[in-house]
Amino acid sequence: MKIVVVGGGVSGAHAALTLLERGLPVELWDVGREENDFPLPGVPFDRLREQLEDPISHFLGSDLSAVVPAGSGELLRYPPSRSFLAAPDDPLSPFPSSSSFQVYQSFHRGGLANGWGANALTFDDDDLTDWPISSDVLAPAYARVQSRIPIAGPEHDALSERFPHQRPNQPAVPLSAADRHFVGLWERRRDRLADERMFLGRARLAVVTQPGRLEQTCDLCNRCLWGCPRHSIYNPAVTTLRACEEHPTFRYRRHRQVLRLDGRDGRITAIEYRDTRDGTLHRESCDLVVLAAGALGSGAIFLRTLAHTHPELAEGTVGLMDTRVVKIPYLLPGRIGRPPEERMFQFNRLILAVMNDTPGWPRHLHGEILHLGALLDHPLIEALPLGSRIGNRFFHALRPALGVVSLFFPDRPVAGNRMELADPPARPDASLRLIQHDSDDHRRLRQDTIRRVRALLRRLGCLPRPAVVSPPGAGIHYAGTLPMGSAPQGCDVNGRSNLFRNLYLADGAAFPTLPSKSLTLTLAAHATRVATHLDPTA
Amino acid sequence: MNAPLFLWQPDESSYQLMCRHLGLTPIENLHRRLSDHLGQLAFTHKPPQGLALHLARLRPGRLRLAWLDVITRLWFPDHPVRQQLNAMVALHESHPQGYRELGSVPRGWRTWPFLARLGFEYGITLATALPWLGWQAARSGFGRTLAPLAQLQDRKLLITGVGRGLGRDLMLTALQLGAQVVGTVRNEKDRQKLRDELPETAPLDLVVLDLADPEAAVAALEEAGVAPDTIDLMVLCAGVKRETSVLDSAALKNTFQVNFFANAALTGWYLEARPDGRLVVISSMGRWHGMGGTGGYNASKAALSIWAESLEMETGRRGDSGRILVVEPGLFTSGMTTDRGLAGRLAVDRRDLALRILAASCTNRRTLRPPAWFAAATWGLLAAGRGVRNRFLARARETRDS
Repeated sequence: MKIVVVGGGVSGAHAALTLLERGLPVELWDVGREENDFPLPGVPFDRLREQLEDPISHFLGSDLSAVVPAGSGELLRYPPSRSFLAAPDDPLSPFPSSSSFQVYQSFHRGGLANGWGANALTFDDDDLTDWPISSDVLAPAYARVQSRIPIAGPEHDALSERFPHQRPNQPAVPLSAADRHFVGLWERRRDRLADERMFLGRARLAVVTQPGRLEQTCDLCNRCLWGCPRHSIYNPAVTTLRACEEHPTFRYRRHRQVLRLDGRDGRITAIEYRDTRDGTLHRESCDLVVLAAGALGSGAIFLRTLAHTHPELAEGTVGLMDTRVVKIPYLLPGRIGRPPEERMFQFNRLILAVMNDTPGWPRHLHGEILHLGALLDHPLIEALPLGSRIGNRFFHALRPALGVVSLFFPDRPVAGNRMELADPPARPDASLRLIQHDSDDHRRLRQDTIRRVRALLRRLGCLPRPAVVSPPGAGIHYAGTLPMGSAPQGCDVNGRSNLFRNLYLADGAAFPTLPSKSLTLTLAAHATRVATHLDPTA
Repeated sequence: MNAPLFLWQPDESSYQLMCRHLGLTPIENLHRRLSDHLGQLAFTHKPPQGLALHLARLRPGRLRLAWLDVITRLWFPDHPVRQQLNAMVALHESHPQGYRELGSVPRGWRTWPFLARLGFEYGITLATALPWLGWQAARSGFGRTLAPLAQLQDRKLLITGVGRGLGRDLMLTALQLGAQVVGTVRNEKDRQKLRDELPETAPLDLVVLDLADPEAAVAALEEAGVAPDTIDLMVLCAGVKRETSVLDSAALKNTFQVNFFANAALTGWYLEARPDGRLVVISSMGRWHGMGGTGGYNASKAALSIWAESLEMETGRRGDSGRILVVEPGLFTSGMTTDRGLAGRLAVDRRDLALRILAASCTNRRTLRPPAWFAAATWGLLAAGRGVRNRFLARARETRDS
């Protein structure tokens, strides 16, 4: 029997491992590019410059491509050392660059999980309102993935009831001095904040904070964004795929970019793929396929397949969703003049739950509170209306007092938002178009929430700045291209395709809606659940 | 370090100046990386236009940089100093020494008076910058003088003779203004030299051709795939000047081939495909008089000016489209050298001349004869009669030779 899992990201890794644990043989097909090792483990961000031979090339690239140009509006750019994100002009990309949807893709082992912000949260029944399953159905899968993924977080706090089935297995990541100051402000005004319907809590993060696991313990080197040199932040390429490799029936087939499937009589019979070493196209037969190439990657493979097998259904995917991210920068006046901290966890240590009353959207809107650690500062200095000289001094004087609330907005199916074939569909590597329009009620939800959070910050004594809304696609939480439901392009509650009985959709493509909370843990749980219920005799 | 090619690229002294402005110690080899980076960036961003372009052409000074730093952030985002200072901060913050210097601010209670001082500095800088900005705006006719140059953005220019001299400056200036350039050079060595010097991102095609054989020159352009109908403006700049007697017929013939017949052939090739095409013909003030020793050059330029005028009459070229601009420069200097003598002060800077030519090509002007005093003096000499002219020009020649 030949079971092929397509994609080596978080979904593919957990689907593969679950199948292997069931005793089934698995081939995992992946482009599988490798990231270089990150230099000088243990050296904190601020000291790295002194110890690297050519720090400028490390931080900005030998061609200085990570210098964020003035006037671009970008506040952050991944450093060149983090090559896991494919450039828009990557020859393997099936999505031509577009101004209306900013696409992030990864062809690396571990996929986009190489660069996630480590927030690991479970969905509750309210998040799953329009799903054909409840959170209890997901519970066993959540339990299983939390035995594979480290979760650092509090055993219990004000937010615990919002995250059912969540079992932190590591001590929470320590707070920075600015975090403690912010929590102090919150505690002092707790009574007055009761009617705000917002809750503050410690972040639940997929990071190792105590010894005893394969990954090394986080040493707070402030380099999360630059690539954790100790691999303390969970990365499926480092642990889950390695666990797969310990099974003798597992084969990792690198350099394979799956383009489309071939099928007849409701069965997939073969896979067409590109050998990424020489660009040649190949075809190989198979018995069962688990698509886990990400909502965009799986959507693309499936649409090309339909163009071949069911042209009448190949017009587009069922949907296309992404989280819109809004950032509200603010100043903590009480922290002005304090010394900067050298050692901290660079991503957010605090989270905010904003209870939403607007019908049609989940009640829980997820926010992340970050007090700035290590970053390259030039885009932030350039964003100040002061010029470089005064702006730089002003920025550094206020740096220990700067924070940002990132709000993650949910998404749901909207007519017209979908992926479409752009090229003549007969081509096995036809390129695709991504269409996503903003809706009035989503805009209203954002505006209302931004207003409430800004008011909250003011009540806490912070000085909020205007919100920055990220463009469509920049949330990198893609979902809903082939969702669970009755649409022929979709799948059933166990991820089995409604058209092909030996094809399973094990990634975010199968999500009927996109809640506000970070989705990576649920991606792993969904893949695990699909693999658990998969019928190998199909 | 070569002199910077584009406005975006600071020279060594500008780098030092920016270091002082930002409170940084210059770092060895950083200037080269900065300059190369900004050279690449010049072609991925909107070029400065109008008043921003006027401000970008000013020589930087310490006070001027402080003013420009604040006012460009507020009102002129396309001014090159924005990218320069931003890249300065990026490079220095990635270096241990620069990082320490940039982050060195008072802590504790001292932060508050420091912030107050920054506010004061900002207020004073803005209050003094505004009158200066007003003065500069007035000087540039509120940006109107240079505003027509915005038309060149994304236009395709064919410029002959870009290997050196005025042609090279016309090419660099056109690229700086956002135009695409097809440039002709005399030989492969010149082509390679330019390719090595210019950023890869520069939208430039270089064609090697020999204008001494006009038909072969047209054939070379066609062979290189240059479609004449895609050219928006042709600048005929290439020329030779030989130090030889007018009785040397081989040299005279060669001079006329390059300076005159090649231009006529290229124009025929261009206008046939693009009857509304626009032309800039670079002639010379020398076309008004003879000159012992380089008379062939003067004669060929006289022929060229008269030919261009005749072409305009023949084709009935009127109005904005299809006009011909004849440029007859007098005294100009290379922007790279520092001519400190009287002539150096009276002459037009070659980079400025290039900009003025391109600006005039975007307006209704038909003739350009900078500097004006030189044109007036030349015509005065013409009016004075041949005897005076012969004596004066012979003396001028001796002075130059010595």
